[in-house]
Amino acid sequence: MKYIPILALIFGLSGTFPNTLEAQTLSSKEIIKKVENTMRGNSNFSEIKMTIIRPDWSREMTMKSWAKGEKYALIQVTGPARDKGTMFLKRENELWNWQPRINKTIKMPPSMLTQSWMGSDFSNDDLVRQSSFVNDFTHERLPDEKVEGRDCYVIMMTPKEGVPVVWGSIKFWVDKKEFIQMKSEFYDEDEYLVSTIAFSEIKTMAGRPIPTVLTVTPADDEENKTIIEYLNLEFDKQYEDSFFTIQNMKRIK
Amino acid sequence: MSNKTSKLFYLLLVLLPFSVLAQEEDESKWEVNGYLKNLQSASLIQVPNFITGQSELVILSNNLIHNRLNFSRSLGSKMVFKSSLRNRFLYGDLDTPERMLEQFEGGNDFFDLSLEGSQTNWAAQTILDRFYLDIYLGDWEMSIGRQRINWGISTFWNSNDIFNAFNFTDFDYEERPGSDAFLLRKYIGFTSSIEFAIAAADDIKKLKAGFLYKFNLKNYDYQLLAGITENHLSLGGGWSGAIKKIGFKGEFNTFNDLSTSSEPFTGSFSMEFDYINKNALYFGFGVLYNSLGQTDTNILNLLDFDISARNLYPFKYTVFYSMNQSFNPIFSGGISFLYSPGPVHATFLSPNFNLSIAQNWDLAFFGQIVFDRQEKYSSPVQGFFLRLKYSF
Repeated sequence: MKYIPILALIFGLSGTFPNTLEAQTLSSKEIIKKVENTMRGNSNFSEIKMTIIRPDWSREMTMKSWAKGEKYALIQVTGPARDKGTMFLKRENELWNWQPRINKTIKMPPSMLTQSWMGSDFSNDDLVRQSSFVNDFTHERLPDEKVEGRDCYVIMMTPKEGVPVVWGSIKFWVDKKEFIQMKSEFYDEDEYLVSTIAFSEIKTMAGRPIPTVLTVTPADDEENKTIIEYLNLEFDKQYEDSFFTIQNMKRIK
Repeated sequence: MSNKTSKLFYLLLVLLPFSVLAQEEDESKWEVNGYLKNLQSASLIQVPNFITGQSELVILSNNLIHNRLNFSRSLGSKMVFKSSLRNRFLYGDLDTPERMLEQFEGGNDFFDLSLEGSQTNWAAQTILDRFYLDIYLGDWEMSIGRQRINWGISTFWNSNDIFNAFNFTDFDYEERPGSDAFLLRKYIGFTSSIEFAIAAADDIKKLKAGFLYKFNLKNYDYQLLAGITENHLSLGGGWSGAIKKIGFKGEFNTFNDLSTSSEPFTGSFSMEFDYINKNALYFGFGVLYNSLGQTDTNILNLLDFDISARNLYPFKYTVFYSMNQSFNPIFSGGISFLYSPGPVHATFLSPNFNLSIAQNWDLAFFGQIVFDRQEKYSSPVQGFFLRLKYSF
């Protein structure tokens, strides 16, 4: 099973970028760059609710996250009660976990990173993702389409040779006006659709239009879904690198 | 402190969070959480009958109701008070009040912060296993009171855990015991720190104190430890990192008797590898060398072993292998297998399953099966446990 890199989503995929350029002048690569700049450029704080839905049951989980670009992140699990207080710290390509009940900091093995994140249809692979959607992929512009009534660029991205990416290709729908991602489809090396992320419930948060709900649907089982909902989102917080430390992992509220 | 005074003292401490909570105008400053668990156990024991020369199967059944309350209160921005109350009520087949109470031993450190009672078929205990104040001053941190000082790295055997070593067969004690201690920590980098800790003791020969230096180098976490552990000079350390995608960690500690130079070197070393494959199947493999361990002791020692950082396991050499599989987001299962080479071929097998049956409800099954070879390979004791847990 392949999972969508969750932390790309948590750490700011939903960020948007005020557009000043004429749309016509943008190449596919520039469009992705605008989306990625917002993904990576800012520090942000968010509160997220994740719901895993299966035909017979569903489970909810809530968390807070502090992130600076792609390199640094702190995640605090705030629910369910069983896992409350569990922390994750990411610094560059290293990841730690703190279990408050036994007061133990555990350095997570690299193989843990490709796992489903907290049992969802996401993985935390992206924590150590070194690849860039701009530089490590080739971009092909497809005919424009409408998603949820919005005009979108459609861009097919294929990883360049030797880039360690689990996907064969990724198809992006980007809103022409706001540069919000509206939909992504992830394909494997044999060009089979693996999963789809739909972005919806566009609301103004932190003064910007933000798709506040992300729905991941695996292609082979459409009854299974993982929904991520932004409860709160703050951009342009200035966090020092020293905010993302073992020390702060234990103290942050 | 007399027994009576200490019991009063205990009650006072337990009631403190409740009483303050009741007077507090803004109750939101307090965080309270915990769980309620019901653990049903069945132990199958082969008891030798010396008249017939055969062994007979005896089945003991017990039920444990286990509640935990964690209190936490910020006192300004620089201090946090934390307290945890562990309440247990056990009833079942163990035959004497003393035997019942034995089940509740451990958990107390220097101060007696518990109340117990028992009859022939039940026993109850309430204990404060955490009661401490955290103080934060810039890069400095202080913790005073009954706390868990966790210096260990490995999964099963923590020779660096000189303050409160834990026995992994006590799986139901998820939080593990605390220690009446003082800890001072200075952070000297994003992932590095120097710590000093000392535990309360009334005799210099029982003193436990030590320094720990933690640092990060080339994607590895390292630590070095120097201290005094019950009249032994203790020098050790550990590491945690990865070889390619495989997690690689370990720790070691040496103990030299301070009062005699004739005692041979004692120490232990543990090392382990772990890996998760794409299908969420977890593998762990590791080894332990424990110089105080035996090669021919009875396997049953494992289940009520008096553990310390100096002696982590009844056996000298042990290997473990464990596997765990998430079948789906709410159901997982696994097995751990420990084997100690030697004349008795001590083997410990522990399967487990966990099912989340609703948002805050978990149902778990655990097994503890021991094997040894006295004359032929057999399993003298098997324990099976079913646990329902509600977290709040």
